[in-house]
Amino acid sequence: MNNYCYLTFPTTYFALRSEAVLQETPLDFKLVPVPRSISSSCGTALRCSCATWLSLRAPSKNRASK
Amino acid sequence: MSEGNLNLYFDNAATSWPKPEPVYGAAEICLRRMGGNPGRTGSTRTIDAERLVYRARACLARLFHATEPSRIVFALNATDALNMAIKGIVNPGDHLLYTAMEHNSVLRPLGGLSRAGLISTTMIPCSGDGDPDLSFMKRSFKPRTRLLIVNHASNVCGCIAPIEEMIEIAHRHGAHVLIDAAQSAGVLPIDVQSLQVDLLAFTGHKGLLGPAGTGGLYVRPGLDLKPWREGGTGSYSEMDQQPPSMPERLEAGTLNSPGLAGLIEGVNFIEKTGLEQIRNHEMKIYTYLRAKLAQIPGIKLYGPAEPSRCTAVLSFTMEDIDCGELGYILESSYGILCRTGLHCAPLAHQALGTFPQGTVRLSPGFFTRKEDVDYLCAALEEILR
Repeated sequence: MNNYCYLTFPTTYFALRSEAVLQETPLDFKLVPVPRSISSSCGTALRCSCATWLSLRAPSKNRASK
Repeated sequence: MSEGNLNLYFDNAATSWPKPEPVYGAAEICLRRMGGNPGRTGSTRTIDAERLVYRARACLARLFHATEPSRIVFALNATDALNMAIKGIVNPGDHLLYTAMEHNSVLRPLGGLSRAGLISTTMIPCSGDGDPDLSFMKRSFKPRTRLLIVNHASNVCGCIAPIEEMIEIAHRHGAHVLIDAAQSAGVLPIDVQSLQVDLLAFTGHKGLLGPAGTGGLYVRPGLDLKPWREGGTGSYSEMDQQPPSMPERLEAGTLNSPGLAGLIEGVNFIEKTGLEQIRNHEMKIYTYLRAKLAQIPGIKLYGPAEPSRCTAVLSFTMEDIDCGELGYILESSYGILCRTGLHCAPLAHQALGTFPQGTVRLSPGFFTRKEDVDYLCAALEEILR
């Protein structure tokens, strides 16, 4: 069974803003409906591998940002 | 006279036509293939719709030089955005300033709030060319002056307001500024950061070359409006009030995705063609039109003659012919489309000296050609004979 990490957002705008920023990076992720059990307030979550999540959490000089 | 390949549409100030070709296709693709309600997550289709909405925000933020797409709130049109701004910012007891060139989409909300005893207002008179009296304006600020509303470009005579100077004066007096960009978005360069605009209302279906049913409001970072429209946003569903964060705080209900798909292509066309090139063409046509009309006896022109002081919107009257009747003859006998009457701006007509009779308004666009103007002027000469 695969394990994933989900990033949740307060509103749809933040989910799409995050996607726009991360699309500039080589990181692999996807926007998906958020599992209800972890929903914060917006129904869209960003799903990625746990390795990608660790990479997102670590400060990176090379990560593109807008 | 033969129509040939002429574009006889001189009513771009009402709505621009034709649209750039990609606008039609984008709206159709959205309708035929997308489905999905943006923000109401459940499928990849809704996420695709959300991406489209985000792209529309981002491209408008880029056009207006806004720092953050979240400060672009979508509305039905400029009227909707103006109501959102006015009713979102005023508090009971506030004083508001507005110019004589304002549209009814400003005058009516102000009138309603005033009649309800919630606000007081002062009108800034304008000259016969539509220029606001800045000395009067400076004297009109009061301790409770909350907002100055300025029509960036008149829908009656095209005159461009000196918004940079007016914003600076208003800010010195502690007032916010709402710019009505219904006639200037996509026509004049607008940099909300360098102008320090607080609020900018725009419509998608005029200079931005998109479909009707689109428009929006730019809200400066740090400025918080009370939500005017309340309802579902697809987020914070447990709350019985609007979400705290922008842009959803001011948006409720389903957005016009097909309209926004078309609007993106309208803005793309402006960016690819170049705002300056579009303006140069429109003002070349305007200058040619104005010069030809000036040679026709019995025609009186209104608004500034100098092209740098106006957009491509021209009002005129013809001796002894009612403007409504003239508009009817132009269409029924010659196929020429324009707008007649008071143009939802009665105070502007009072300033210009054309109240209550109104004017015939001609508003060529980027797709208007010299031969269209030649045909129009020949028609007017024939009518006069």
